Amino acid sequence: MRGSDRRNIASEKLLPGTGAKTVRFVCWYLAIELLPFIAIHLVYHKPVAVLVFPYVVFGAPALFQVPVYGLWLLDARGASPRLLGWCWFWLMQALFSTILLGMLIGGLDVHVASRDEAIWGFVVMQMIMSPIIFFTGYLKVLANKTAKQELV
Amino acid sequence: MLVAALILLLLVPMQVAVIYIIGRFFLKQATGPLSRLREPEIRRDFFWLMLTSGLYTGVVVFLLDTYLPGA
Repeated sequence: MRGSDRRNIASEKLLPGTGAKTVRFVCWYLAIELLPFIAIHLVYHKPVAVLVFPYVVFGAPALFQVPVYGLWLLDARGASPRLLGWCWFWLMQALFSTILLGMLIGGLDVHVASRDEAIWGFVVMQMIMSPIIFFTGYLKVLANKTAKQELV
Repeated sequence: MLVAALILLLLVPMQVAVIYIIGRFFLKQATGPLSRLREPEIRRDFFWLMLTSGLYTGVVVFLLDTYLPGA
């Protein structure tokens, strides 16, 4: 099968409404991604912690959208449930640790936590969250995708 | 540096071991998505995801320990 044939099949049969979804995704992504820059511009003369929190609140979820879009395409092209599970696990792990690091470094900056507390806080939270993320990011995705494939 | 070395040497295998031991007790009664852990390849994925996640934690801690000011 030629590359163009494959693209046609993907856009016409496997991915109905791809164009509209892509446009919606790009608009939503740009709108949210602009917010931290506006916030950073407005508070430019403030301490670093003030810049970290807009990133945690707006930046991380916006950055999260790019791989989510990739996974949506991967799913639509019939990737195996295990591969999707692996991808979702690392995506959620990356999002969680980015937010956690943002909070810890922000906490350091405003002197609510010491350097060692921040490092150990990260370790303990990772140890608690990794199995939880395995359940929500891997096992649940695996169960959903397997059920969907069995239905088809 | 010491903290990062401790993580890599002790905490990563400990995390995998503790979860594995607890998992063995709950696995027999597990229902829903958790029951998939009875399948050998899913259990292998669990092991590798926990191990790589622990290594990732170790690398981040190493970077924090090296680059955060005030050591």
